[in-house]
Amino acid sequence: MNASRAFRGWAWLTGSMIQRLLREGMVLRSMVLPVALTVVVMVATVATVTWSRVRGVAVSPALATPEFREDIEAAGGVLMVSDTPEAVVRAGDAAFGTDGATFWADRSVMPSQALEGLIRRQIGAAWRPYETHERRAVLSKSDTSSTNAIQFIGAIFAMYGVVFGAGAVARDRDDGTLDAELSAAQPMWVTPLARWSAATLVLGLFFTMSVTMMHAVVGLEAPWSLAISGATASSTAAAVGMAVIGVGGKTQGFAGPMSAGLVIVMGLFSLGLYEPWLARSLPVASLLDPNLGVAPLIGLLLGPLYAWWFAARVARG
Amino acid sequence: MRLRRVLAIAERDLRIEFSGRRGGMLPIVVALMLLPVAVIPRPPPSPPNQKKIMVHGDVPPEVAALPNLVRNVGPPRITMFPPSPPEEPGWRVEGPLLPKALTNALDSMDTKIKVVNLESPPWTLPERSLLLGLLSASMLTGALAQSIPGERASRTLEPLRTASVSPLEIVVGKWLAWTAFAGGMAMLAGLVTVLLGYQSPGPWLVAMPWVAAATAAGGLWLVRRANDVVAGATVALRTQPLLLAVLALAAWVLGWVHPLLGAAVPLGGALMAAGNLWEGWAPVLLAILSTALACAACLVATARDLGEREQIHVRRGWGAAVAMGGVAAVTWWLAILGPMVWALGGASERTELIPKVSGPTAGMFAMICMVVALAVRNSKPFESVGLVRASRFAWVAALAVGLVLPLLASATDLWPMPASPLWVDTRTRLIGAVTPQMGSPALLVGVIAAQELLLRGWMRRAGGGLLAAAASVLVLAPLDPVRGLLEAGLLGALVVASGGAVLPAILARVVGSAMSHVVPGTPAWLGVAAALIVGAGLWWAPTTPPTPAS
Repeated sequence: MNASRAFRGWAWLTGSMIQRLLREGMVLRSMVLPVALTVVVMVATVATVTWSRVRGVAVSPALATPEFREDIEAAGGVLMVSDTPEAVVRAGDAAFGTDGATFWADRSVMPSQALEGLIRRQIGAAWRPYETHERRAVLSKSDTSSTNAIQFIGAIFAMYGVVFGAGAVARDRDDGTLDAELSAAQPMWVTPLARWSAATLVLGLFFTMSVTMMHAVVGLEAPWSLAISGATASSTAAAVGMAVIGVGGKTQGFAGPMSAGLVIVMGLFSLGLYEPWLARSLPVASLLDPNLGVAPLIGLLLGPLYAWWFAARVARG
Repeated sequence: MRLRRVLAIAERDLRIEFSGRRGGMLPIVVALMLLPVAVIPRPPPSPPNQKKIMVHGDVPPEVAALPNLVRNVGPPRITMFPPSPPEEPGWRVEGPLLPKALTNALDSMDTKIKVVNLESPPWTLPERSLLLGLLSASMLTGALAQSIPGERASRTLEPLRTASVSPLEIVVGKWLAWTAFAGGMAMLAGLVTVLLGYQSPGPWLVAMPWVAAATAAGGLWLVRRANDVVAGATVALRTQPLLLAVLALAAWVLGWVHPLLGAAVPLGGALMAAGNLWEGWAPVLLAILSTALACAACLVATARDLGEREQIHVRRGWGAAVAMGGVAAVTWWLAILGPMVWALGGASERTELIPKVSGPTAGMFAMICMVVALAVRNSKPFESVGLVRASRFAWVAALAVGLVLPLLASATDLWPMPASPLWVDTRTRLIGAVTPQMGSPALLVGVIAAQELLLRGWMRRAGGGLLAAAASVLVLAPLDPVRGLLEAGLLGALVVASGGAVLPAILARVVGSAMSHVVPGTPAWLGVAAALIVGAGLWWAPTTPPTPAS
């Protein structure tokens, strides 16, 4: 059995497996949904917050100087002159209000530090919140919420990896495809390795697309290391899914092994949340580590290792 | 509906899952997940204001007296500046979301001004039994994927349907099996919590199995058409958490207005009731009723569609091409224009932080995914996206088109635009998305290749040349239609003259991008005339028959 024959067999089977995975509309939609949903929710949230922001600032007539009005309008606010500013704030029409002696602030709405700062300065308060464009830029740079969102999308892709791994072996064992492939004149390891590589390639491509889309819309600190960690997390999960289902079909139980696979993968991810050094060392958990260490490499080795184990099990009968 | 048959189906489903060599694994995994949640003691309530307040800069004595204040350590998220009269008579505090303890201390400095903060009432959160219900329901993914799609793939569903069992009996039997299993496990874990004294018994125990019941019914409906366990499990994985989260959130928010309103939300009401959020029996009973009705609707709908399956067909024609054009347009615009949303929302600093090159990169990956997904659904994947061999004439023509494309730059001015900065910025971003200035030549080629394979490869074959040109203008140049239309016409003619091969069009655009540095600004009429002459030449050139790429 020469190597080129084995390689060609692996390439053909991988291509065929990719075709089978992507022809299923449900599978395809599953891979697009997480990032589509996240991006749409983020954009919709920004739009909602922008449009529903309470911009009113209610003051008594004595405080409504032209300079103050100008400052408030420059900060995106609307000056509301009223004899009873408290009532305006309580009615939800203004976020802040003052009569010079009392300052009312509605903390149940999204606060605008710029408006609060201006009104506090106008009444000569002992302190005021203060923000600058540069300062906000520094804070935006250190904001990790978008990275956290893509890390959780990576966890979802890892769960898909378990499903692809476990499902591909169990389904093909039951409908006879696996036996047909194993009886072909090629090494035993080609069949499981092709399934693992197909799952890795499909999940890796779609996760990379998810990362780049998030990076384009929200901005991520280390998009490429996230993409690599996520792709290898999916490949690890696919190997885990295949390993938990073993060489058997669904007649040996499917829900139990699949749940066990999901728990193992999410357990690895949770360990990364718990201890940063585990995130550096464990596959799947490495999704949470911004630096690429050995963990993704370990994850990539699990697929060939599983293929070797599978071949040994099948050879033993 | 005959109960004996329903029970037989339920027993059959459970036997298939639990009798195999790994049959014991599911109860063990579920128990391992539920028991820690049930037996871990409740953490003692943390004293208020224990969270550290990290502050940089000088602080007034009122703030310095705070017991949990940490000064000048860690990143400077909050910085305080002392008064500098007459410009700044008061303290300035820089930082997002200032802790309440800090603002209270600062407010206490004011002797003349009284500060009144109007706050929402504190939120009430569900208890740990909610987590028990959620965990037990989330373990059903594999079971539901096996229940209908697995049987369909193993061809055991058809014999069952031809036996004297109605589709509704089959579906109800399967639902009963997994409701009993997951609901029973959740109730057991709930009872353990009660026995250990971590939660007092109440109506929530009755609501608990209904979380599993609704998850099983909804899950069966979701996977009713799936062809195998992979499709079934992925659809359940992607949709169930979303449904649970949305409905739970809806019930929680509406429950604020009135508990009965929250309880009326199917599944969400049951979840909140299982979490012991509301007092008394009325919300719990209403939650069970609404959830039971939703279960019944899902089961009837699943039984009705049991004979159907997801069609794996290659969609062609105008409809498919228009739909794909729409998806491509939204994806490309989102990638290129998405960062502008932050500036519109008042956070222009975030827009500035996002590198311009990230938009075309994301658009490229999205289009590659589309091309791959469309190609693999075709029996001739390469040919379906225009990857066929081109003749020598096509390559020469590509160079000619590549030389004309930079001349079209001035055609942008032929379409008048409003002078609003928003319009100008939008058009500039869309026009400047694919240029050599994006930094990497490989990325430029990648973006062009992905666009051409989708727009002039697949789209032209699926919906015709006219639709491909329209899609190209819509996706790439919606605010620069004259230039977009001329480019689309020229490249479309090149693809037709190349016998459907897309590679010459990719070359033409790469050459055009490279030459855009060299070609000086020309009058618009020159570009239009050159495009019309070359386009007409290509139109009347002999068409090369397509040859599949090796």
